[in-house]
Amino acid sequence: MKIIRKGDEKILGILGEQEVRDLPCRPLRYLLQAQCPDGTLLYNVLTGQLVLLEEEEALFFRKEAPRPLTPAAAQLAKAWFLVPESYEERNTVHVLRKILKMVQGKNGITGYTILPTTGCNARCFYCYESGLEKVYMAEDLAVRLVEYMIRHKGEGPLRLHWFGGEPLVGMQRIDQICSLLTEKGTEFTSAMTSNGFLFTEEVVKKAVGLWKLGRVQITLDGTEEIYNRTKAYVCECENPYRQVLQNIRRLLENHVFVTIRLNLDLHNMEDLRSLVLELKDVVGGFQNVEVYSHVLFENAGAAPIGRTEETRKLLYRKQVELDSLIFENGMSRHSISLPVLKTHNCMADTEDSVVVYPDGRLFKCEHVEKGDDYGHLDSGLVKREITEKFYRTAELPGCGSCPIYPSCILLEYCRGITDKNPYTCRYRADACARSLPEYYEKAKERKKESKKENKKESKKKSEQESPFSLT
Amino acid sequence: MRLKFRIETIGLDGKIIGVPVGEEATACFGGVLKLNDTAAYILELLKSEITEQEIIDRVEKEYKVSRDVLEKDVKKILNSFEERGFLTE
Repeated sequence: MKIIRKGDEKILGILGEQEVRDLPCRPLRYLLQAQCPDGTLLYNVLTGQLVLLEEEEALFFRKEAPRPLTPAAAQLAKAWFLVPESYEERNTVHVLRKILKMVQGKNGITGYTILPTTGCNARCFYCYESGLEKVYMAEDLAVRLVEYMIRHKGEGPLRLHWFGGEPLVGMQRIDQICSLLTEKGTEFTSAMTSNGFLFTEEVVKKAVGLWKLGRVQITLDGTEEIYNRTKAYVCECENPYRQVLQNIRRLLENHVFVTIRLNLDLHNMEDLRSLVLELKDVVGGFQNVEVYSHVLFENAGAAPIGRTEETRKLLYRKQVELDSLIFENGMSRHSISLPVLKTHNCMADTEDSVVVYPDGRLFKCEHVEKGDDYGHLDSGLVKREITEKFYRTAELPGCGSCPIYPSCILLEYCRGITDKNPYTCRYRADACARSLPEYYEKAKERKKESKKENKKESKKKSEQESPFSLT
Repeated sequence: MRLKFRIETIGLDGKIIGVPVGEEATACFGGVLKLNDTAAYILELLKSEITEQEIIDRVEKEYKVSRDVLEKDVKKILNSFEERGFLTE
């Protein structure tokens, strides 16, 4: 067993090495396996450790572990890859989450999802906000928001996430809030979910400088015709598609990390393949870009989609194909992050994040629902029963056997509107397993690079130390 | 003496984990403790004001161990809590 990635120090600090007993053993349920030319890669989602196995070791996971455990099997058991038959790993995940949350403690509010407006310049048919009243944040409210942020600030810089509507439609408030924070010497970083249409040269310069924008997520729905029809921008622009592609390039040239999300459904599943190839020409050479696909939510938008089992299966297949194409064209960044044990799902079930609506109401989730405001900037938290409901978790029938269970939390609140179904869950687990060989190759490259660097360093050092010069 | 801050104990795979909770605890000790039964019991006793002698008496009642061994063990555990800054007079 060769360790490719060490496990999480905190988790292993709590778990320690597993005590090896002479009991019948089986593989832990939270393992991902993939083949690579050097052997079998095995990733432990519970501990975050990735190992490369010899053929003999790999057999323990295909057939059964020897009893008594051979030294090789015992080593795998110590590292939590093999566990006793009766082991209850789901309980371990719950206890670890509880402990990690307690250790993290409370640190004020550091994460703000701010909606400068609910207004938008696009009219996507699938928008879950369709029907929401258009509200714009007032100037005096932005001042009070900054005061609130400073009053509740914890350690470390504030993390601002601009959301909407289309946040750039309310960019005056972004300017104002960022200027005020800068004036008051409050450190912050920004990210944004945007359609990208308004990122002109001037806006990008401002975004990088004043807003400290590090990341943007932009959704594309297809190539020119499908994109323009789906987005249905309210503008005079002849070709929004071309404009958005140009803007994405501009962001990349200015070192902003851009995540391009491809919204997938029946109407565009073939077209998205052409889009990936077009994207390769536009963004292919950049390192600060990633492309991923996402099947449209079933229960949202002006025309909610209800899918049959057959359709879900088909979309799953199409998503896997699309993912491979993205990967083959070098625009996937899946391998950078392997799934790890999570203590919370999103901003909604953490105490250090709030969502600020343009009228100052506070929400837990960016997918704002009527009646889910738990307070106001001026009054703070007033409805604890609302915040509490975001902390309740739920499970689906398939969760018990899911290999990425430690890295996934389903909130009870999302149960009805979530996109989780057997196919999306399977897609996620499969995508994680598929990313292992790429992660391994990158880890090998990094090791080679650092070896080269070390060699260079020691050569330089010995030349400096040596009284004789070889050149 | 007593604990300076809250330390929760949680069972995990037959082991007892002690988790210091709260800002002061995190600042003082940013980790978890692996406890044996006796240490966990002493930690429980330290949640309210108690003397070393009282701890020894209570542990003696709970665990059937010779007084000599027990006194040494209790002192050792209290010292390790003291060194980590968990105790207040």
